[in-house]
Amino acid sequence: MNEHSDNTVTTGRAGDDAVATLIARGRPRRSVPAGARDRVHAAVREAWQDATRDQTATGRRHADRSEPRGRMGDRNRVRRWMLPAAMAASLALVGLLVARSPVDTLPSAAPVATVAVLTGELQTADGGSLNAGAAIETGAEVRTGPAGRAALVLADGISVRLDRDTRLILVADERLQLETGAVYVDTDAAATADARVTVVTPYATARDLGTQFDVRVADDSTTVRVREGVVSVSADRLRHVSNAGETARVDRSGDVRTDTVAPDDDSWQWATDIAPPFDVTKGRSLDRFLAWSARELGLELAYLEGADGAAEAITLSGDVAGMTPRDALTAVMATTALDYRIEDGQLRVYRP
Amino acid sequence: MTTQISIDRALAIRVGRGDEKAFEEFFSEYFPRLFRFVLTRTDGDEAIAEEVVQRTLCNVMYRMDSYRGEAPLFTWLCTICRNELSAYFRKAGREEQLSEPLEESREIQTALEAAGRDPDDPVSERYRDEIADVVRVTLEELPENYASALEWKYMQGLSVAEIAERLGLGEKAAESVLTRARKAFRDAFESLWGTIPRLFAEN
Repeated sequence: MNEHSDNTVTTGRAGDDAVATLIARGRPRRSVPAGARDRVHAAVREAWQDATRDQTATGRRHADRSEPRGRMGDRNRVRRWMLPAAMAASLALVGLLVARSPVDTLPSAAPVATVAVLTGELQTADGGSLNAGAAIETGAEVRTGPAGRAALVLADGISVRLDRDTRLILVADERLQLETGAVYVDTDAAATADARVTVVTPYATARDLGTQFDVRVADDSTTVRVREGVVSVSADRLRHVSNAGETARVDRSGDVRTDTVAPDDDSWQWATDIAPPFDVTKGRSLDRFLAWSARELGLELAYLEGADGAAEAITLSGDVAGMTPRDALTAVMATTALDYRIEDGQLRVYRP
Repeated sequence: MTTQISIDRALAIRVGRGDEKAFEEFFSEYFPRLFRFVLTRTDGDEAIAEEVVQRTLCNVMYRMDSYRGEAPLFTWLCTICRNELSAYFRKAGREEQLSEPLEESREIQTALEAAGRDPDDPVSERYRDEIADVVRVTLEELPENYASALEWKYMQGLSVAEIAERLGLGEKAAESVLTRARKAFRDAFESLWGTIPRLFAEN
């Protein structure tokens, strides 16, 4: 039968004709912007690589699909990001091994970072002081005091900034162990596209998937905030993916609470203040400086009325060392024919 | 017999095992469908769609092995995506202001009922926009290659040979894709709106 008596059709030739006629009267599916596709593809691919790397490292035997759901316990009802218990246990084991690795057993003596910017004092575990330009060896512990902040550059160009009262161990290339205080990580200047930083803390491990983020340790929790990009946060029995504008606070019981934080929120100011300066000595153009400024200030760069071409044509000279990104922006723009204003989360550049 | 669910399950396993080709296949198939799924529910807001779909797919990467083939993969992804969409509005401190699903729209139901009741009535013209939306939403439910083949054939008027070339298939295989695509369209239509009105069978 291909036709119902109630003025409807189902299958067969009549059904095919109905489909053909109907589709001919339709409109095509909405297009998907190529830019959105590319951005999402990059982020999802990173997450996929991260996820499958974890499975390789911990052994797929841990991802036992027969694990009874009851084993998840009550936490499963309150946490959205939980993995099956067996797999999560294996992740926790990896985290524990990393967190407990005694620093003095690691290979040492290879420089893993240099001190780029310093305010106050930066000390090593034995009480020695590090100055700007000093090399830091693999496995070293560095500390800032109540008046100190420091910006380090890892060997592959990644920027790592320490807030006040921070104790950080540079366990290995791209692996940091944060004991107290806070670190801010920016992988934008990394020499290689696949450079990734892992920050291990007492309550959670944050792994960047191409981003700007900070991690802060308190007595009873670890808070990860994402300014740009994506960060994976793992802890005992949970895996959480944080996107730009999100914070994830993991407490000592392993529960995660999320909140929001704007990329230009004042609370990022500490990391902006200690940012390594933009190097204008290499004949770089204004548009690159503006891109750097916008990134450091957590703003979206927007050119108005064709100002982008003008910014690209202007080559900078001079020196902005010692200035914060905002001060440098003011100083540099005062020397050009362009002007700017900060509105609605954007750094808007225009011809006056 | 190989079912869609067994194909979906195999794909999910391959993605979870780190198979590069499977990942690309998965992304190419499901990213655009999820993107449109969110667009339909957010009045076409592409920024929200991008963010929500990114969150959905990033999270799915970590839980691929929890897909057990109890429903088609797309249905499973849509369930996760719906939760992400709710979370998005919650986090943004906004009331969840999702667009009314088209299938629940009174206008659409009226259009379909009227069209089925009286084939000679110019009602199909009056409800042209609504019917066009019905088709669009139905196509967005289909696998990429099916929806594309149907658009090429019935909207753009391409020949089977041209469709075969675009799909990288022989003509016979392309004809087979079109047959399966029509069936998938009919199934999706019936699932969303009920049976196809007779009016369309007689034109």
